[in-house]
Amino acid sequence: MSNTSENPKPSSSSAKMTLKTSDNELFEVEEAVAMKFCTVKQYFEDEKDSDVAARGSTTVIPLPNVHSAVLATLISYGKKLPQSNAVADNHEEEETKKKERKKYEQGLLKNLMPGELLDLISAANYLDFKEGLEFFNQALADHIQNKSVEYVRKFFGIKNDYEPHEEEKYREEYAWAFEGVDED
Amino acid sequence: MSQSKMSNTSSKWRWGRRWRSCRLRLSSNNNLPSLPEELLEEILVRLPVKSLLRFRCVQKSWSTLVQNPTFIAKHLRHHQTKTKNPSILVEGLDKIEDLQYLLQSHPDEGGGVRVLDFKGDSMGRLLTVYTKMFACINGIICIAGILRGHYGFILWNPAIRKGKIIPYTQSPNCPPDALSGLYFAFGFDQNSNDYKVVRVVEHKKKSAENSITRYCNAFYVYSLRAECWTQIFGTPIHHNNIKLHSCCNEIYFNGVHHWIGFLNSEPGDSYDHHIILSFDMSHEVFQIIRFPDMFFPNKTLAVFNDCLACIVYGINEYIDIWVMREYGVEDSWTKQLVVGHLLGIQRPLQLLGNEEILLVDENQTLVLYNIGSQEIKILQRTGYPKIFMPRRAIVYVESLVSFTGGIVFES
Repeated sequence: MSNTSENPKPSSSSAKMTLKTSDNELFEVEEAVAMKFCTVKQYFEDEKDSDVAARGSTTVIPLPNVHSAVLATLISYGKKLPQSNAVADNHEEEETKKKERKKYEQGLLKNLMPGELLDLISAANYLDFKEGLEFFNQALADHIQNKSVEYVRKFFGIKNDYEPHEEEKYREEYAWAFEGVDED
Repeated sequence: MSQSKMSNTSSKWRWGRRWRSCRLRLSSNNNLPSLPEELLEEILVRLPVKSLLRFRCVQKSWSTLVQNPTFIAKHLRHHQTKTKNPSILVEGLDKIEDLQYLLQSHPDEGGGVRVLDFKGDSMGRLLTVYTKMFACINGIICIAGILRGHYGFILWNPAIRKGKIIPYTQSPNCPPDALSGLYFAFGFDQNSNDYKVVRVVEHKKKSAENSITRYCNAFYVYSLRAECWTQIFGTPIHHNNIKLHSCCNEIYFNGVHHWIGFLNSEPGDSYDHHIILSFDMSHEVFQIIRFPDMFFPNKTLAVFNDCLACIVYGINEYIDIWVMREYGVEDSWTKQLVVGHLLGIQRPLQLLGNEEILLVDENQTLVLYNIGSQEIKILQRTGYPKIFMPRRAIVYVESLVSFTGGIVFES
């Protein structure tokens, strides 16, 4: 799923940046979207002095901790967010955009494997992508909310460190909390 | 390939070999076996209490995290700020003088009802008569009653189904036949991270000369940390003839409890000034705030736009919402909006946020009215006791807060 940078169109209205993932894929991203990744923004601002910005998208920002598939999803999500430089919409347009975004979000979650959520959260955290982190954290919380203890252990790769009698005692004390849980 | 049953969410999550191999393929270079604690915390903070109590079993470090007071505070804050459609705790009478408590979830979140049945469980055996005060702070409900023949309070967290009993002995200072009123308050002192219960004991004294009834109020504060009662003396309140008139119209706002009452400042004053008597839980001080005279005839205190507000009603089918723009400044009472035209409504109970108002209609049914859209939602009656007359309602947000020591019970 590579998106190698071609010759940037000289007439493009917004600057683009190139991000390079851990598996050496290159992503050309609009500046407005890339700036939502605060880590990228910081890198970019640090480079500003060296006149790089003036030359356009010849800088390649390395993201050694992010895989291409994960970055693709985060960029896709970032594009759907209200842009900070956009002209303020009237109430109706705002409502329509909100509904579109909700639909997109539901579609996105439908196609995601639960395990990918962990990767997305790690990557969003590394990139300091606040809206993405908020969204995927909530998605993961919603996913595990009604799951069993065994499911959660497997999901996070956690080893049970309770003695059997300890766990049994706890389950008895809070038996009601273990009712109505999704079957694995 | 194993497939999980369809959950209630719209997405189909599959758990089995397929996603595991996918995960290995798509896995980033993040080689950590599990999420770092700060990231884990951000996920767990979003979960409801029932899930968190269950997940304490996942691993010992999870149990430690969930019981950490910092996490508990963070979890509460998250749910207080992010909940758009809060649940409502409703107190009502099912027969004469028999109180019932219901947890009603918002219609937009399913509208389900959970009856908080005290009688049928261990608390019911303790609490034989529950009389007054019903307040809910940080997910803790406080009820005053008589337990095993003694006066006491119950602090109960219905989300974790545990609570604590605080007994007290009635003040011996005033002769029982002069006792004319008992008022309570429950609050949280943010400065000392302490929960407090306030008890106001009122007794009447009739003055022979001009037969004006004087009221004397004694104030006692219980600190949960100190586990003891203290009597408060020498406040300006003691010099005034105040009669509290609180019956389901008080409110706890910004760390301060507000009762409604009357103030008879001068002998021969035929005029009872309507006032708010407030008690600051942190500083343990009282303040008197007057109402404009036009707040007539009925008043219920509320919160609107993060300000102290008053719902005024009873004259016609409209409800006025007044807001004290500047707290404590009597001149700043402003009529914020008029809600109406409402037919068949008996009285308002509470504001939910700035958009909705909870009302009781003539049939004793709870009704949720959206001020902006004027949409009316009748809260479901399924799950309610057969006879239920709503008396008051409070917004309820669940929490993990628990108490130790003393008489602790489970329900």
